[in-house]
Amino acid sequence: MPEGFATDSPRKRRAELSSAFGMLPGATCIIIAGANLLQHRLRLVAALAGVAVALFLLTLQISVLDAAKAKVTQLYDDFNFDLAAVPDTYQFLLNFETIDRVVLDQGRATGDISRAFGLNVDVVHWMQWPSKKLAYLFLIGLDDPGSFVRDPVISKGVTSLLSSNSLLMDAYSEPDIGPLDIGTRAKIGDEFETIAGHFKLGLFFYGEGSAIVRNTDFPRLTDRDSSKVSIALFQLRPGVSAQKAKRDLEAIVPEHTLVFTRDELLQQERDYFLSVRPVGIMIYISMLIACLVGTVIIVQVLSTEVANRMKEYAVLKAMGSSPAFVYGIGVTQSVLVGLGGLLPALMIGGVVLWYIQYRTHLETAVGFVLLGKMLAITFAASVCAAAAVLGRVQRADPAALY
Amino acid sequence: MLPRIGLGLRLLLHNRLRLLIASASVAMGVVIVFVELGLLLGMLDAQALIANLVRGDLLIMNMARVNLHRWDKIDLVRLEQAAAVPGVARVTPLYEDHVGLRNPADKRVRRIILYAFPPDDIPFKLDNPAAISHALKISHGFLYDRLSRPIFGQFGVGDDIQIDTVPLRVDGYVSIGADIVNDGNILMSEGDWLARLPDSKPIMGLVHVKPGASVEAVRQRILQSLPPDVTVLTPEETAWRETLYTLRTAPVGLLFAIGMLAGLVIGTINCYQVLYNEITDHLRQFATLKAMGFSNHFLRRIIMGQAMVLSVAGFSTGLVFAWLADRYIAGQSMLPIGVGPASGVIVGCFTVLMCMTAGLIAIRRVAVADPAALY
Repeated sequence: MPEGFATDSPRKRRAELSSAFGMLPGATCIIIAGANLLQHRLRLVAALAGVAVALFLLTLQISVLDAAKAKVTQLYDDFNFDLAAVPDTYQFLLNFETIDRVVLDQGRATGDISRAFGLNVDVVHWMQWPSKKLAYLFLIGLDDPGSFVRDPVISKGVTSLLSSNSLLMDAYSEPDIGPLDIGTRAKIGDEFETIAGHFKLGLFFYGEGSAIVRNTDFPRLTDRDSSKVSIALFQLRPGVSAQKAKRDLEAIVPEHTLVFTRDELLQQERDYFLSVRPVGIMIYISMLIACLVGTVIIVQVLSTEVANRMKEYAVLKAMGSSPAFVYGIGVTQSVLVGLGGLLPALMIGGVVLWYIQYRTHLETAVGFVLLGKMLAITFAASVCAAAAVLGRVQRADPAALY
Repeated sequence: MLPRIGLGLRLLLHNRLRLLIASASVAMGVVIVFVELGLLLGMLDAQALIANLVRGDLLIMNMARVNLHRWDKIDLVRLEQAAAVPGVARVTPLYEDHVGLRNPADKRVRRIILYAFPPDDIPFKLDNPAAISHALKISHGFLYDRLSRPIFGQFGVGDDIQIDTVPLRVDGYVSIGADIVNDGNILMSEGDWLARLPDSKPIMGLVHVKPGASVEAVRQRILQSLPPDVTVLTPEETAWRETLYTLRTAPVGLLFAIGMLAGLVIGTINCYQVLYNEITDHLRQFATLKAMGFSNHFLRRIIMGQAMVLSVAGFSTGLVFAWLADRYIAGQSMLPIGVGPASGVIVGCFTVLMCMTAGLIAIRRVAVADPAALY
C-alpha cells in the first residue's frame, strides 16, 4: 500500500484500487459482488430461487390486477365519450334500470354537447337450437356507431347488421354459449337470431357470452321500452370543459339521473370491482405480502453475506477503500440477487400468465409495462434490503483482523 | 433417520435472538400459505354460502341453474308436485331477487339480494329463528344482513329504508354474509314479496323428508314424478357443485393455489438459509464432535432436529400472524376468511415437510466439517 494512502481523498483511493484491478470502480464492484455471491453456489441458487418465487408471485398478481382493471372498463374504453348519464341506481355497467331517451336530446340542447349516443345493456337467455341448451348472454344495444365506437370491427359490424334478426357475437364467449360460427341460429326469447359477425371483448363478468345488436332491435329482444336507454353517452363541442358541461346537464336532466365525466365513470367502475368487491382486496393483500417476502429474502441473504465477510470488508477498509466503494459492493450484490431472481420469475410468470390469458381472455401476458414495473419493484426492494443491512459494514474494523 | 430434537433445540437456544429471527423467517412461508389458503377457502365458502346455510334434506332447482348465482327460477307447481311425492313432509319455497336499497346517507341506490320465504318455515340455519319468524310476520318490513358490505350505509331497527323506491321498515338483523358476486342480503316474508310481485317464481324449493324416510329414495321418487326440467340435490352436493364451478371459472382460484405453492417454496428456502447459517456458525463445534468420534449420521440427526424445532417455532409464530392477517382481510373483504382446524392441520403438515426438505438440503454442509481445520 503506498505511503500516505490513508490521507488521500476517497475518490483517489477508489481509483487506485480500481486501477489495481485494471477497470472502473463500478465494474470492480460488480466483479467483487459477483465473486462473493458465486463462492457458495448452492446457497446462491437457494437465494435466487426464493427471490424468484416471491417475484413470480408478484408478477402474477400485478398482471392479473392490471388486466382486471382494464377488463372492467373495456366496453367503455371502446367508446369515444366525454360525459355519461345513468340512472341513480347505477353501480356498474350491468344495470337493469334505465333513463329516458329524452336525456340525449336534453344534452344536445345545453349547447355544450355535439353528439349523443344511447347504449343499452341487459342479460337475456341464449337458447341454442335445436339442443335448447340455455346460457346467459350479455346483450349490448347500440345506436348508429358514428364517431362513438372506437373499435373498427364493432363499428363496421354494427353497420353491416342488415336484418333485424342478426347480431354480432363475442368471439371470446364461453363454450357454454355453443357454436359461434357465422350463420349459427339460436333463440332469444321467442325470436330466432343469427350470428352475422364477431367482435372480441370477453366480458365474462356479466354472462357466458356477449352480443351486440342495434338499438332498434334491442327493446324487442329484452322487452324494454324503446323510449328508454341504459346509459346516455355524450361528446362535447371542442373547447367545452367536461365539468362545466356536467353541471349544465345536471341542471336539466330528470330526477334520479346521475351525470359523470368519462374519468369519473371509469374510476367508479374500477373502484366497485377492485375496492368494494373482495377479489381486488385479496389480490392487493397478496401483492403486499409477496413484495415483503421478496425484500426479506434479499435482506436475509445480504445480512448473512455481510456477517460472513466482515473480515474482508475490514481488509478493504485497511487498504483504504472508501465507505462508498464498500457499500457499493453490498448494494451491487443485493441488486444482482434481485435481478437474478427476476429473470426466472418473468420466464415462468410469462408461461403461467399466457395460460391465464388463454383460459380467461384477461390481458395478462407479460408486456413492457409489466416488465418496467417489475424492474422498478425489484430494484427498489434490493436497494431497501441493502440499506437495511449495510449499516453493519461500518463496524468492520481493520484492527480486529489481528 | 430420527432427529435429535433435544440437542438441536439447545444449539438453537444458544442464540435466542437469532432463533427468534429464524422462526420469523420460517413463519413467513407459513403466513403466505395460510393467507393464500384462507383466501381460496374463503372465496369458495362464500360462493357456496347459501348451500351450506339452507335447512332442508334436498333442494329442487331449475335444471338450467348450474350454479347458485344464476337466476333460472322454478315453477311453483313443481314444488307442489314434489310435496305430493311419498316420503316428503313439506317443501318450502325460497324466492330470490335483487332489489335496489337506497343508502340513507349518500342517497345512492345499491343492488342487494332479497330472499323471501314463509315466516313460519325459515329456510336458513340462523340464530334465534323464533325472533326472525316473529319479525317477518310484521308486514312492510325486512331483516337486514349485518354482514353485508358497508356500501349500503348504516341504519337502525325501526328506520324506514327505500327498497326499490318503496319505504320499508327495518325489523331486525340477521347474519348471513356477502360473497364475491353479491354485496349483501335482506330477508322478507313470502307474503310481502308476493304482494309486490304476484307472478314471482321461487329460485328453489327446500324438501324436508318425513322422519325415517330415505333421502336418496325420496330424491329418486321426485325425479321420477317431475318433468326433466328440474334438478334435485342435497345441500352438500349443491355446495360441492358450487365449489367446483368457482374453481373452474374463476382465475383467482389458480392464482391463490400458485400463491400457496410459492409460500411453501419460500418457507423451504428461508428454512434452508437459516440452517445453512446455523451449520456455518457451528462448524467448529461439529468438527469437534467429529474429532471425538461422532459420525456424520449423528450430526445429520442434529440438523434434522433443528429443522423440526424450526418447523414448530415457525408454525406457531406463523399461526399467530396468519390469524391476525386473516382477521384484517375478512374485515376488509367481508368474506369468511379465517384459520380453521382443517387448514391448521394442512399447513402444519406442510410446515414440517418444508423444514425437513430444507434440512435434507442443508445437511450436505455438515459433511464438510473437518476436525483438522480446528488447528
